[in-house]
Amino acid sequence: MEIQEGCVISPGRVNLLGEHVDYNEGVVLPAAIDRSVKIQFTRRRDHLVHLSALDLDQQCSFSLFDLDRKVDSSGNTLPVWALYPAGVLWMLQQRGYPVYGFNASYRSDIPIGAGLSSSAAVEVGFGIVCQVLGGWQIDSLTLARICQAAEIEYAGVNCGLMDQFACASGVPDHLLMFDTRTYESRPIPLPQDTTLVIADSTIRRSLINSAYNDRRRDCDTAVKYYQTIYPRIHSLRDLSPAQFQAHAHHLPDVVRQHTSHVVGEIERVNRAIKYLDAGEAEPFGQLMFETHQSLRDLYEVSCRELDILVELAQSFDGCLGARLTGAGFGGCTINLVRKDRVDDFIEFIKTAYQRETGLQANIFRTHPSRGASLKSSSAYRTVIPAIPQVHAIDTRDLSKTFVTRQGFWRRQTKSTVAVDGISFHVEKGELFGLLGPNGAGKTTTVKMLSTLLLPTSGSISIFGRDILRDTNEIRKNIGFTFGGARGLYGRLSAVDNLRYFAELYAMPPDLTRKRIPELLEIVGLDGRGGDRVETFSSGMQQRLHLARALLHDPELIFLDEPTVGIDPVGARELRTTIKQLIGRGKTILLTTHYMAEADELCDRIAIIKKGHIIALDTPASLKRQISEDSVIEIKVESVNLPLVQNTLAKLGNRAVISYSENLFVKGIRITTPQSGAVIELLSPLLTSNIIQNLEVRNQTLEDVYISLIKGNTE
Amino acid sequence: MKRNLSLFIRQMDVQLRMRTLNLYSLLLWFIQPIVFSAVGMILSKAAGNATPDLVYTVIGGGIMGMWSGLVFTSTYDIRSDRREGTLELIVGSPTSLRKIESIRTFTNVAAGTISLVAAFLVAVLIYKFSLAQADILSAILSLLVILFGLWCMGVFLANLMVWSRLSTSIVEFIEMPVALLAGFMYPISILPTWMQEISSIFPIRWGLETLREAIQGTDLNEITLAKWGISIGISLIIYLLSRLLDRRVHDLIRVTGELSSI
Repeated sequence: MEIQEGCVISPGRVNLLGEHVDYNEGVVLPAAIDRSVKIQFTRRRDHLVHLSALDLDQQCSFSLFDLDRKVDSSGNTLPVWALYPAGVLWMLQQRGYPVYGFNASYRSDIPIGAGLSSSAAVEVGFGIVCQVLGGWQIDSLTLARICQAAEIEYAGVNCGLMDQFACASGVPDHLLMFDTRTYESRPIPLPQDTTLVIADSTIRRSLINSAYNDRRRDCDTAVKYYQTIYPRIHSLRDLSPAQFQAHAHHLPDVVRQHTSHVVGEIERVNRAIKYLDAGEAEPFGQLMFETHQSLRDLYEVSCRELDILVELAQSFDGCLGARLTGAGFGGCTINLVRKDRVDDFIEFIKTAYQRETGLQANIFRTHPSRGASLKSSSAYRTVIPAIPQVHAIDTRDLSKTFVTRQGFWRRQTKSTVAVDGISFHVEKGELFGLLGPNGAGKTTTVKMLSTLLLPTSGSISIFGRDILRDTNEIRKNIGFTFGGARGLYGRLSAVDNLRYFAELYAMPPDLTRKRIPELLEIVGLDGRGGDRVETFSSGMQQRLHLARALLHDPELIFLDEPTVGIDPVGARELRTTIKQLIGRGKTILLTTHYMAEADELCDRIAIIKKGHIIALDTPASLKRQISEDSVIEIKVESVNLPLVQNTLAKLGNRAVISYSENLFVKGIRITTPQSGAVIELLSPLLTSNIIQNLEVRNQTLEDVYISLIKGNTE
Repeated sequence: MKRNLSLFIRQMDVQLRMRTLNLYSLLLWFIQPIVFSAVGMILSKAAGNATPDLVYTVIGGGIMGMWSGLVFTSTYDIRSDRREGTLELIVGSPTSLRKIESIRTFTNVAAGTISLVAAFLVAVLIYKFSLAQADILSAILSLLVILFGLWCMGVFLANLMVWSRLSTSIVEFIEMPVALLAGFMYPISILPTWMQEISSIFPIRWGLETLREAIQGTDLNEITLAKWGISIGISLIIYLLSRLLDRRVHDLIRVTGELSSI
């Protein structure tokens, strides 16, 4: 089932051990926590993404086609907070995953900048949103890697993989052992009778990125040095403590110090895993204290407030381990506390920290939680208000009656109802088909929607604007073409035609100069712009019509029989162009007599007859509506029809036969749910005939159309 | 302002290339005045005049050519737009049809002055008509008053022609009566009184009178000023009337579906 809306919950993470080893291919021990980003989303039919960051009270809209440029819908640079979700969308596009427009509002209870990976939670959360809306799935590791790449390449933050992996892969009540080299992972239970407590120092450091990058560079320097001695070393993960010690004196002081932490931390994690597997909480906690010491003295990423928090925790009976978590320089400590001492611990740290620093720490217990996932949409509706959706087209009870008067002395009035109370809507980004026989009211409907005719009754709104009140505003936002060669100045060149219509749409000259060659290329008329339109073929004129309709970059385009009179190659090219337009987020209303064209292009189709809509659904559903039977079409030179009928009578009413013939060929058409049985029964009868063609196919849109139009008549 | 100027230039360019600068239109602008002038001279001679009245024949022929050209081109424009489907595109754009029609009519009127210039040249070069007595300033001002009157009438008629296909025929039908009533080729004073009264509603009539007076050397006087005032006043009334009709016409054509009817 295609999901159109929902709520994704994406947790933050805390790392218990293995700090600053993820970019050295070490093993880490993070856990997803029960603080999370909650994203409420609704699918859009266009190419836009509208984000509301409720905590920041900021909003931002951007086009999926502008992700490369990092600009919003108004052309302004994306705000920093939007780079994280936008980066994920961009990276998914780069990797070939289909990404669709959506509205999303989100809020988070993960403290920002506290080392609990609020940005990774946002990235992974939006990755899940894209998966859900796109109807595709990837494993959590792939998702994490995409999110990491997005943060590095799009947001410009150099980060390891641990944060995104923990947010994506968390397991309730478990830590994750994650090998950042092999990407192997396994959950390890949190020691029994212990609880994790996070203490937020409330200190935030702004230079964390540069310090982080410095340390990554130092690690690289060390690797390069040790590779000269141990060529098989690929990262600090490969360097044993003994090897490090043997040559450490050759390294610059700072590099040596930093490398010492990494090598020691990798070794500590190895020990920690053994303790955790054995359920030994105390020695594991001791390693946490050691890690903090190393981060403070060797890696130099702590700060006074964090040190105070750890020292206080160390002095508390019942706290088994404590250390700073995250990149450092501020943020939080993670504490492993005996369950029965948690409340006292929190109270103690709060009071003592305030006494020591004058600051109020934000201290809360947390539980290892599940990774990012889709929740039911209703769960958070009360928390996050739904975003109202505006349709591209909305018609209600739309009618049009033409009144003509004839005669000179005795005037006679004749009324013709062209459209009779139709209601439908077209969503943004949708390609909506309007099918029907000649005189059904298609063109009248299109002309009413495109402001060229006034409805006799009913209402039309285009992008939420009333067609009677906001006519001129609507005209700026729509483009239209009507089938045939009319609508161009034949004695002018293609470029002159486009220049003229650009003027009618008040396009700035610079934009016109830029846009015309682009459009001529899009419609395949590049190189012919200077030629008079009267020398163009029908197909070329039709494509020029399309270029004209697109000139002012309208959001909504009406195409009234755009392929009429065009040869098959030209028609196919035009259909390709139409698909590209939909890909670029345009909304299109198409009328056509070619059912295959409608089937190929349209998201939904309305069949209109005598001014009434007699069917409206997706092409697939329309086909299902009439029947799921197969159609067998056999063309033979001669046939004994009564014999065929008698033979198939065995199937009862499960085979409906129709017959047609001309001078050269006889045609039998059988509609049946049992095509195999029919062919088996007919085979002996047909062996003596020359079968010119035998085709078994599903119902086509044309079958549906004919059935509905004829059925409605009868 | 910049935007309007840009639209003005582009619309004039399209108008001239599509509708005006073709062989048929050029013949209309040149041949028609010659024919009218020739007929005028023949009639003048037939009436027993020793020398033809060049003001009423040659210049009158030029004005006649302008008027016919304006009516013909305007009706042709609308018919073509209907036939070619461009009328719908123009109406469906954010630029008002009135603006387009105003520029088109201006283009047609400006092109029509070719007739008048041709007629003047014929009068001066071939018939050796002397402009020595003429009050050139008054003549130029009178000409401008005539052009303004023609433009206002053109905008009004274009509006009418957009309204309905039938209007186009009506406009063609009034081409000759207006020419006769406005006294293009003879003094209004020869018309019966009731016709003179009707002719007073045409702004061109007053402009033509002052043009002839200026060419014949009548000094600028209060009567001239009054005639200019009347001509400009009537022209403005016609223009305002077309402004008032504009919205109604815009709605009506969208009710009747006349935009694309051929």
